[in-house]
Amino acid sequence: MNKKIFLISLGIAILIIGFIFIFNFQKQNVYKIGVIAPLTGIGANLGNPVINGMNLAVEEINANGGINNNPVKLLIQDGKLDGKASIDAVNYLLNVEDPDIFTTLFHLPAQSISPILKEAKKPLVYEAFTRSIVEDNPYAFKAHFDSLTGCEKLIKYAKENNKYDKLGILMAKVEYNELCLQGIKKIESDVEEYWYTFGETDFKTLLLKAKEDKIDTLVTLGLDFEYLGIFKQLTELGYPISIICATASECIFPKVIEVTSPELLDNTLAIDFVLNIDETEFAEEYSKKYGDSSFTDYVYGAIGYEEVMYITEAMKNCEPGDSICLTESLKNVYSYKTVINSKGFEDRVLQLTTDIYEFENGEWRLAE
Amino acid sequence: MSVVLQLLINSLIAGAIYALVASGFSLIYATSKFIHFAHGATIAFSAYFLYFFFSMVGLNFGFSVILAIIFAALLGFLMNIIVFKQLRKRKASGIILLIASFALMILLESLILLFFGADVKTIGYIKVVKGLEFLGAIITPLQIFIIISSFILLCLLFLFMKKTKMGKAMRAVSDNKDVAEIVGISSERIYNWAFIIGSAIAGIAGILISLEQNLSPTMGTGLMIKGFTGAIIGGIGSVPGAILGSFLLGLAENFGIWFLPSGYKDAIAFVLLFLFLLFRPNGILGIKKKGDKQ
Repeated sequence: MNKKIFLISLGIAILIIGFIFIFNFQKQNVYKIGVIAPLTGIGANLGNPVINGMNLAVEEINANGGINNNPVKLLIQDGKLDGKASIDAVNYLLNVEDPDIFTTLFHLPAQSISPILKEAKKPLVYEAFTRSIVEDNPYAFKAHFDSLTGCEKLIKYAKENNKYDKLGILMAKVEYNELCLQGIKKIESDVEEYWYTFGETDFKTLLLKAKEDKIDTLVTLGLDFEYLGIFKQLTELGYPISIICATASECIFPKVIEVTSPELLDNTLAIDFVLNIDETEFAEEYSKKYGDSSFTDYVYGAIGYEEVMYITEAMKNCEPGDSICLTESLKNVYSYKTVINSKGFEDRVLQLTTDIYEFENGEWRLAE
Repeated sequence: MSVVLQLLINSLIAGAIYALVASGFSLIYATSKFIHFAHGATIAFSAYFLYFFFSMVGLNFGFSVILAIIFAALLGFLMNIIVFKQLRKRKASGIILLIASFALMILLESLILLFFGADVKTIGYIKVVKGLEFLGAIITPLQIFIIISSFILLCLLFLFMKKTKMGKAMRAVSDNKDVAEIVGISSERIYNWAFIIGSAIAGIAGILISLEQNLSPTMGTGLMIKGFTGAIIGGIGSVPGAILGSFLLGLAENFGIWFLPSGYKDAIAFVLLFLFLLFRPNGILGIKKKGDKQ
């Protein structure tokens, strides 16, 4: 009897040890990417395509044998474009899953989670317009349009080509817009400022103020609802004010065209690093998997896809779980499959080629 | 002159929208005596009902509007009988009802997200063109309609409260629920009607806002805060007060940012709210109750 109990106990112990071994073995040999993105609420319309693009890339990589024969796994959490929700998500992932690297979308979540990841010495790739996080966190990498240099380039072009007489800015008071203003002021010191609180939808009085100040061109950077409100209200008011915006693909989209007079849309200036993405092979693959998609879906899908491509390229030099190695490797990753023509990181800022576009006869035309 | 007129028009448009939000909210508060924050979600829901019936199903616009208002009223009624009535039966305090209302607001906004997605939507019924010029100021026909219809609606609400049997019963419950019940008024029935009428007004607000601005799942939250501020300024629990307060808020915001840096728009609203809470907590037309400090 005692022998029987001993054998059963031994069997159970072997099974438990076996499970632990298998579990740890699997845990050791998966490259994990922690993703904090807005999947609900404001920003979810951009967060979901990013996830779709990332999934597309991960499926492609795993179908080709993974990285160093190890699969890549995405650990996705909803950050809700909210600081606290993003911090909770990061803490959960750090404590439960311990990813090799984290990625996030937009400045606010990135700013909230960066100190935690700096402490944990985990690399963070964030998609936002501002580079201040890179300056504070040696493990942070910035991707996406850069509002400081982008706005400078845009206004330089506008000034050299006499695209305005008196310039103003109409923007939500957030860091990426303040950096944009800094960039503008490197070229043009005489700029009237019309700030509003993020989330504002009524711009009528601000536009009236701009008109009375004899502003003929307003620079604006924002999200879809801001562009929609500004263009619609400017059309209704009929003030002789032109718009300069960034990025082109986010600024004028089908709904904006629906509610804006063609005269106002024409001669709108913008800058972008990705524009004809809907005509690429990537867009074809994306729509095959996710059905009919908007232009913005393709853009943000491409951003997510690209993110996985350069991260996994950097992973090739490191063992799963070695985040320090991955941080160093990411700094020197230059050659990878790209859909938006990025050229790796320089000073931990993703190098993107930006072009100036002018809206003419219902479409963007390359201006410079 | 044209600048002042334009500012006045901008203020009236904003005030009319806030007033529609505040009046429904105030009607519910006056009878039920709790802050019904899910009222904002009712506004968003009605806008999405219109989007669903008109833009997705393809029904006639007028019919879609009527359906959206009916569904908004029904939503308010269901919220009352499924959640608040049950809580009242369990003698829940105003704070519990407020928390339940917050939870409902989050739930309803999440449902909108689930069914319609997070991207900004437009109804697309009215072609956007330059507005009409009036003494140098510009206003669109829709904005004229918003101001006029809100005035008419608010007048009708005022008459309803003053002249009809139901309105009088609502005021009786608002004044003293126990005494009203002694004279045979069913407070539960009155709560139901307050939710139905208040939510129908929220439905109208949601429809007008969706035509003037855009649709987003959280569109009701910001409006609710402004409506609440308007109701506090005018006198919470007083429907005419809520309307007056909302128009004052619209004026203060738009004239305020003309003179102050534009980023202070929300600060103006909240400074006004704090000033009233500190120095005149009953608002402009609020009824001073026995035991109040003033």
